[in-house]
Parts: sequence; C-alpha cells; structure tokens
Amino acid sequence: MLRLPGRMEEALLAVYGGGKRESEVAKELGVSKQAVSKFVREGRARLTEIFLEVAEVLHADLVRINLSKGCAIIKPRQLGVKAYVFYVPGGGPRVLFEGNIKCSGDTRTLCKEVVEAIRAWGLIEACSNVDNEEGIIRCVIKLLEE
Amino acid sequence: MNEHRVWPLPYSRLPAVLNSAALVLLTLTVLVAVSCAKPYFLVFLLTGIAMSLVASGRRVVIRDGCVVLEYGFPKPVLRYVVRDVTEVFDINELSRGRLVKYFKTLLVPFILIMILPLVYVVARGAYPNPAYVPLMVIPIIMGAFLTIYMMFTSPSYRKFLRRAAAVTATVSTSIMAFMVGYFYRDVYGRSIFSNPADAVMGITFIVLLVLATSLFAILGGRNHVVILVDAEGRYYAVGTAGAEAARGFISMVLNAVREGREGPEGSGDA
Repeated sequence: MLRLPGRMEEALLAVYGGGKRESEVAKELGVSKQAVSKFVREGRARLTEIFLEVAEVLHADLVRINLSKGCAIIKPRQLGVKAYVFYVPGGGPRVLFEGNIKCSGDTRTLCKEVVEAIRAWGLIEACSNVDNEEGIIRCVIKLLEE
Repeated sequence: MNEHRVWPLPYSRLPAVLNSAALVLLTLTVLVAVSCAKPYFLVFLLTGIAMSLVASGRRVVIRDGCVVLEYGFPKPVLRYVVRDVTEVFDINELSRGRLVKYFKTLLVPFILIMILPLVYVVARGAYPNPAYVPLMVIPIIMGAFLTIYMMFTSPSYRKFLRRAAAVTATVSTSIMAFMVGYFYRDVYGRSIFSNPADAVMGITFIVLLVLATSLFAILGGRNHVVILVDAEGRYYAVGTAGAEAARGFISMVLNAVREGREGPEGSGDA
C-alpha cells in the first residue's frame, strides 16, 4: 500500500504542513514528544519509499524530492517529459504529467485531490492569489521547478 | 562513493564565508602588488590561499543514514554532518532552477571580480587618461548589473551558466584590453597600435582569454549541482561529474533517508 499510516501522516502534516512544534503536535495527538519525533522520522523514510516506488513503476529518475512538502519531480526515461508526484493525505501519491495539466472532465477529481494535498502540505500560501484548481497546480509546479 | 565524481561545494556556512574571504584577500593581493605595498603582499597571498584550501570540497561520505561533507586540502579541516534530509534535488534538471535563490553569497565573488579595476584605480590614486575612464567603467557596471540580473531571472541554472560566462568573458576582455593598452602606454610611452607585432600579441592574449572562459563555461556546464536541505532548512551543495553521477548520488541520499528512520535526531557539525 502506497500510503502512510494514519498517526504518522497526521504528525508529518502537522509538523511540516502546519508548521507546528513537535511538542504542540504531541499535545494534540495525546502522545509523547519522542513519539512524535519518531512518527516524523519514520514518516520521512516511508514517504521516501513511496516516491521511490512511484519512480520505479514509471521507470523514472528522481529529479527533486521534498519530504516536508509531500511532493516530488520525476523524469520517466521513455516519455521525455517530467511528472509531478503529490502525496494526497489518506489517498496516497497522485501523478500529473508535464504539458498535460487540465482540470476538466475525467481529471477533475485528480485535480481536486492534488489541490487538497497542496493545501494540506502548506504549499498553497505562495499561490493564494490563484482561485482555480488548474491555476493553483500550475503555480505550485512553477515553484517546484525553481 | 567515487570521490572524483562527487564533491562538496563551498556555497553555504563557513566554507562559503572562507571562500568569499579568500577571494577578497586574493583581490587585495593583486592591489597590494601593484600599489607597491610589498610587506603585506605575501601575508594576503598566503592567507588567501590557505582559506581557499580550507574551503575546498574534499569528499562526500554517506554513513549511518547521514550525509557527511568534508572540506579542506590536503587534510580535512571542516566536516558537516547533514542529518534529517528533507529535500534533495539536481538544480541542473529544474527548468527554472536558480542557484542564487539558495546561496546568496555567490553574488559576492561576481561583484568583486567586476569592481576589481575600479578598486585598483582608487587604491593607487593614479587615474588613467580621462578618455579611457568610460571604456573601463561602462563594461564593469554593465557586467555587474547583467550578471546580477541574470542570476535572478535566468530560466535555468544551465542557461545562467552560459549567459554569465558570456557576460564575464565580455567584461573581462574589455577590462583586460584596456589594462594591456594602458600599461603598454605607461611603460613604453606610446600606443600599442604603433607597433603591429605588439598589437597582434595583445589581441592574441585577449582571444586566448575568451577561449579559456568559454572552455571553463563548457566544462562547468557538464557538472551538476545537487542541493540538500535538512530539517532546519539549511542548504548544502554537492557537485557531481555529470547527470549520471547526480542521479546516483540522489539515489544514495534517498537510501540513507530510508535507512535513517532509526537514526539520531538533529543536524549539525561533527
């Protein structure tokens, strides 16, 4: 399963997405600070495994991996275009291909999930002036490419 | 890990400071040499070389889930242990990657190289013929502004390298051409163009300088820069000999992150 365990995901999102201290997260989750540290450390390792597995499935090389923002850029060897991987909380990784980012029809749900991930990981702040889903995704991808 | 294919770059923390300071000192060495303040010449030169050697990247080691960056030549002097890597990327592969976004100190050497001739004139107090002043000042100012502008606006690191090399070559060539002409007149009391053989030699020197800069840009462009970010948000740069070496290094770092789940916390110097 390409998903983070529930508690691990909560801790990781609170620390990196919410910018909270581990002690605050410990109080919220009702666990010790050491437990939160362990969740975060193991969460990073598990998230790395998830992105590596996605890259392997798509026969891609990893160009960028950002564990604190739950996203990665990969380059499938045969396609010649980049792909952007976003970890959707509770849903697992979602992949968008460069040059094919349209939020209409069948891809509507995918876009919604990716925007949800962008919000959860705290990536939305830099693109807060954009109101449509496609625009938000394009804005975030632009930032990831810098 | 093959030490010749992956090495730490002095772009952050103490190595960056030492590298910039070394450049300032070596700039001062040139100024001191031409200003005839001989007693300080050797002090500035040796200190500059020593700082440069301390800041030079030695090797990168991955062990116990951490990335260890060693600086110093011939013996390692500085060592940084990067734990809790949260981000890793090859800036050459990003379509809008700009090194200066992560390492602002890189601006210092560029600016210093541009203003060197002006500093020389001010330090020496001997002003060149007023006719030559615009020739010298305009390329310096244009070069400095263009390089800084490109650092912030170039669409990718690779394009920046190409453009920066072109600007640096143009500015350096203009300055060197001016200095050769100026010193020739200073020594022989006549224009360099009064003797065709000397003029050809001067032009050959300038052409070789342009070729050397171009070669540097071509070879430099082949190397990739991989950036690591730790949990505290500190950036570290690692140079790799080509795209394949960069991919191999990123893969090793990610394996270390995967294995580091039971490792120690925090990040810092060893």
